[in-house]
Amino acid sequence: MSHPRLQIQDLRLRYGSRQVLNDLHWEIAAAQLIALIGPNGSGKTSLLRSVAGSLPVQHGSILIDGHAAGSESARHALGYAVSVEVLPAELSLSDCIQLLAQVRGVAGLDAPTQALADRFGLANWWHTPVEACSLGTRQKLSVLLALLGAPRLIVLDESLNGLDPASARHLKRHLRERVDSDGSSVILATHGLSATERDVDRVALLLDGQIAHQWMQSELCSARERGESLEDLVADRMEALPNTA
Amino acid sequence: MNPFWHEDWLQLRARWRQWRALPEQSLWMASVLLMLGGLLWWAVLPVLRSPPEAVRAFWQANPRLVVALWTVVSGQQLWRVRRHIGVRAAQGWMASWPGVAHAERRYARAQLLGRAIVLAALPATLMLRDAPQLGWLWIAICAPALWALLLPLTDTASQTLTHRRRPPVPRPSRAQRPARFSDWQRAAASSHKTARMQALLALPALLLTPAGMSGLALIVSLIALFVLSRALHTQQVALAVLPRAQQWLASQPRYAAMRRELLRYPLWQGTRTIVVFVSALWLAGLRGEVSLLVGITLLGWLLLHALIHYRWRTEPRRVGISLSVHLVSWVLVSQVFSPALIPLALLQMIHQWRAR
Repeated sequence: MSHPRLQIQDLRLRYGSRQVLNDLHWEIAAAQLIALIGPNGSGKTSLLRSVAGSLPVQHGSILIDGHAAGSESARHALGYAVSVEVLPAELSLSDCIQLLAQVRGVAGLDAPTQALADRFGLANWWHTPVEACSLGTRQKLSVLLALLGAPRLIVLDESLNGLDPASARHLKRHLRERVDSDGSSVILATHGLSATERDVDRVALLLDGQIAHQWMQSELCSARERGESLEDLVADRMEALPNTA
Repeated sequence: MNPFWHEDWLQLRARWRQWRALPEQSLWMASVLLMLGGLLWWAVLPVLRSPPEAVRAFWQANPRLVVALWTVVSGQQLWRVRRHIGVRAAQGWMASWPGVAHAERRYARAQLLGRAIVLAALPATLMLRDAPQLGWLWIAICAPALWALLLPLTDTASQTLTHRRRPPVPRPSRAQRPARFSDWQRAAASSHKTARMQALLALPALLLTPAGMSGLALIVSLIALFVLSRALHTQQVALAVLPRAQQWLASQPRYAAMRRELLRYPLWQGTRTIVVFVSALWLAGLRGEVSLLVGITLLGWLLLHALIHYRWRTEPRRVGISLSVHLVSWVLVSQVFSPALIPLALLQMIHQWRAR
């Protein structure tokens, strides 16, 4: 029996008195590249951290390939790009990759990911400590770490931030190749709507603790033909809700 | 209002709000302040009223040396404050504000004068009573004030550069083998090492030593204590890597095994340090059973700190448990060590709580 790549049911998350996620349902099939968008503070990072197993599920369930988030099998299936602040500042880029490669039981970056690293222009940075790297370089490292070990679900939280346009394009191409070649699924949380809308299969809007709407690429194409951008669609949807207008 | 003072005030207000939001922590801090007050009344004031005979004798015999040392120590202390303010002005969020250089100088002058008064109060209180050589005493009192007037005139730009942490350089031996978690912890610990100038702070303590073998034993103990405090600080930094590692690796397989691996390095290094320290104490003449007790206490302290970082640091709801661990640690310190170490232990704990 084949499971969805990600299945979230009835997920609730509360920080103190603030309800962040509210009966959230979401399902992602294999070989999907999805952009997750939403206003600041809408709970995108909390949702992704719950998927990554680093935030405990308070209510509901999250299954990755049929395994509960946080379980050993789910961790093997997942590649999560952590925030650059928690990367080990004192270690070099190659040290970080070696360490995580050991943890995941692989030799290092696979050939396509190594090629991506080369396109990122990291050749001269491998032995530089993370703390001496620019924000963009740290972001690239975080992405490479998430791609290590060929995970089936790749979760990137604002990973395009800080990347130069060429690197962002290389990353999106790489993700598309992965999705098309080995059936991986990718969730890309972002605020750069115009930069991503043509590259994804689906755009999901997180609003009021729920997936409020999803646009398929075909809908986005139709909207573009009508002269509407994704920003217009999102703004219309947000203004339609009484508490966000 | 000077923006530096304004920022200090806003930070104080934010901290006060945090205290109100965390009643357990507030209770803890209040009890610490109460204990500090009690300690001052019970242990420190009597000493200040009648300075030890050894200090008085040494002062009478070597006033020039004492004043020279005091000048260096007070200058070093105030220089650190000055550098900190300079770095804050040059690298902080106010760096590009108009008029910040003038505001920073005024703020630095006021801060340094305040600290100089505190520093000058020490020789004045300790040695004024029945102290001969009044001329030298006045120099000791004036030295911090002189530093406070001179240091604001120094250029902070070069100091800002020296304050930046030097990134660790990969060692050739490392190239041959894969990276380990202990490499991360070792690199973190070495990048937090402070200036060796701080060893000068121990020098006034040496002035208390009597002549003969007992004095030598005391010097050895003091040096051992200094080395131990540095080594334990290193262990703490290595332990403080744990929460960051947990955040980084929480979504990875073999997570539990990795956490155990991250504990291994600081605990092994710490145990080794403690064994060496206790042996030094024993060689310096401390009784065997007391040395053993000191070793067990230190080991307990290390394990408790490891426990806090390992399990509870990232979970605020465990603050109560963490508090009791700190309290137990405090009781151990007070029971086994000299009461004079209690303020150090308390300051260290407060510092750790504020860092959270």
